[in-house]
Amino acid sequence: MLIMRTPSSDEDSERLFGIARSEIGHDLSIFLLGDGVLCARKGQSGHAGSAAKAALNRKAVVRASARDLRARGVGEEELEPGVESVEDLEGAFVEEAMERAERVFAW
Amino acid sequence: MPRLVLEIAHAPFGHENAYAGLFIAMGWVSVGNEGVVVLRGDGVYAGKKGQQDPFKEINLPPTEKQVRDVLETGGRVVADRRSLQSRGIGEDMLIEGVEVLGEEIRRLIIEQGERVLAL
Amino acid sequence: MVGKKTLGIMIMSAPFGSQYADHMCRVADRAIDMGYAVEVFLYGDAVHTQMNEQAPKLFFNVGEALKKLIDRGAIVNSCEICSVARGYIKGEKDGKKDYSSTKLIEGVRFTTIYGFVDMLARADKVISFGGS
Repeated sequence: MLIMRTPSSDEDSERLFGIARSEIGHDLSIFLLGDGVLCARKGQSGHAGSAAKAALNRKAVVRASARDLRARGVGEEELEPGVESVEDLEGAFVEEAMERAERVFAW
Repeated sequence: MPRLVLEIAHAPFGHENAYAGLFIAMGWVSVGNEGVVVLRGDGVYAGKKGQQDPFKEINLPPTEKQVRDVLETGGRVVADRRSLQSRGIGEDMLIEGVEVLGEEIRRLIIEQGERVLAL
Repeated sequence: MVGKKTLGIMIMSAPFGSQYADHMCRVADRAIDMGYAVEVFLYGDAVHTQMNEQAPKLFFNVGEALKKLIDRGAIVNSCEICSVARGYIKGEKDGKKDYSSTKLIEGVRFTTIYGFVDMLARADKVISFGGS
């Protein structure tokens, strides 16, 4: 799952992260790119709040673009524990999407 | 052929997305492919019946006709229950044939989404 | 011989107003690096990505990135009716069954929704950018 923005409402949060929150039982990898990296910040009470945490609780692998984090002044200490900061997020996503994933979603 | 899930989250007319998404859906199902349109958020307005000739009124094509065409051509159109409820849209206000689903939409997207386009 | 796997991409948003076109170009570029075939469909306002001579002073140059993708073998198809609506197409199709246009990055081709549907069915994986 590739997420490139933050949710704008609770309804939108369900759209972006509903699958991540569900207990359907599939392995899940989330790639946060562009504004999507802001979903990985801990301590949020807004719509993005707990999104990454919920995904991590469901044992999803959550990766965020290191370049986009730096550009937005988000240090690793601000990230939800367990989120991986990755330099080549695009490459990691392409490899997962093309070689391992059964389904690919992008928002 | 892979199955398509096409998710629309914008209301018709104000943005191109609903029209553009239904245009793809129609192209997809018209050549015999299996596809489902998922209406969420303001996208549920695309499933509301009773459009009064929007082409004449505001020079935009009627998405109601597109929804009916997709249904008549064998595609499915599903609207999210919570999105409908929060907008005060009853099932009787939907185009005949539009299905209403709740959290089952998550499973639908996972199971049928061999191709997923979000508009 | 087994062909390359294909990554199909649909994009719906114009360059500069958001980062989606930047993301699309970067993902496509990495996919080519990694040996995959890439096919892009420009839809809706994303057809503005095909405009030649884009010259942003400060922003990521989407036009140059798209040209590089084409030079590296990506197929870039653009929605015909979206392009007509936005003034990219004038006149008749030429002998190669393509429209002539002075506004296009070289190598961009126009297609109908059925061309996109064909790609959607054929590609190994498909992702959409900027529609939501």
